[in-house]
Amino acid sequence: MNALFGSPIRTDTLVAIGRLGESYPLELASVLGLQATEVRRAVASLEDAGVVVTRLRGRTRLTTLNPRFPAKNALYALLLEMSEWPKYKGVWEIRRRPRASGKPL
Amino acid sequence: MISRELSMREVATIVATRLKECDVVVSVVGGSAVTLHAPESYTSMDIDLAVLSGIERTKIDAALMSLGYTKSGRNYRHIESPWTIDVVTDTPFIGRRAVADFSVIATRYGEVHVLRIEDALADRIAHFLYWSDSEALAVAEALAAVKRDEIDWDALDAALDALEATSPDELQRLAFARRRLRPAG
Repeated sequence: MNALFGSPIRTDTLVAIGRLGESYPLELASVLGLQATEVRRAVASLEDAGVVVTRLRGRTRLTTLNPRFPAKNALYALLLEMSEWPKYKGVWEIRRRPRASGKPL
Repeated sequence: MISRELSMREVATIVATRLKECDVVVSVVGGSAVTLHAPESYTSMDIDLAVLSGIERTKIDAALMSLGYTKSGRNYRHIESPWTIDVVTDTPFIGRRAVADFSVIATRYGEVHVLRIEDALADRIAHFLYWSDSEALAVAEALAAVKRDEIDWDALDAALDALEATSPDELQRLAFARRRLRPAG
């Protein structure tokens, strides 16, 4: 199951992207305990396969699931389920909601 | 009166009671509502107050300054308290629904309105729905686990329905969150 999407690193990267909605290699590497270069390689191969898309914002390359991937909805449901596995605990604690300026972190 | 020994509940009731004396009625909202209901499930860094009536900044400033708070932007800080106070002079909303009913929590220092548990949960789920905010979902799960026997599950379902998830991703996240909050059995 760890290599469901080709390799454990590809699988972990895809699960984290699914759960986080949008992310970037350094964040993915941090929550998954991987090297950023490993994650970049996984993202590039997932992009080649049409599963994710990336775009530059400033100097950061943001990655999301490809909304035009034919089985995107089914894939997203699977990734959400997989994201509950204990090995992805680091992904559960990532804050995404906005925070008003001046509020304590 | 504010001191380091006080809990967030106690600080919230002191502040709400002083504001009420100045004709300002507030409710605790956001993550701090979760902390007030179940401190063991989440520790908020601030106390978010929504003004329900008496929206007048000068009164709010005076009331909080009389307790020893100083203003910093839209927040109020107290040298003896770890929690800043954030006062939002607007109706509290969860998704697009204006909240009208609140719980009341009492301490020996007074009372404070707070989001009902079901609304506090829906508020966290809204963050997961709209922002894929996993931390908010984890907080909701922790609150639901602690308060399982006190939650009105029909009211929670209604509150989640009112979030008006529309996109396929939002609908999947909502279904996922419902399953996480209410495990089978």
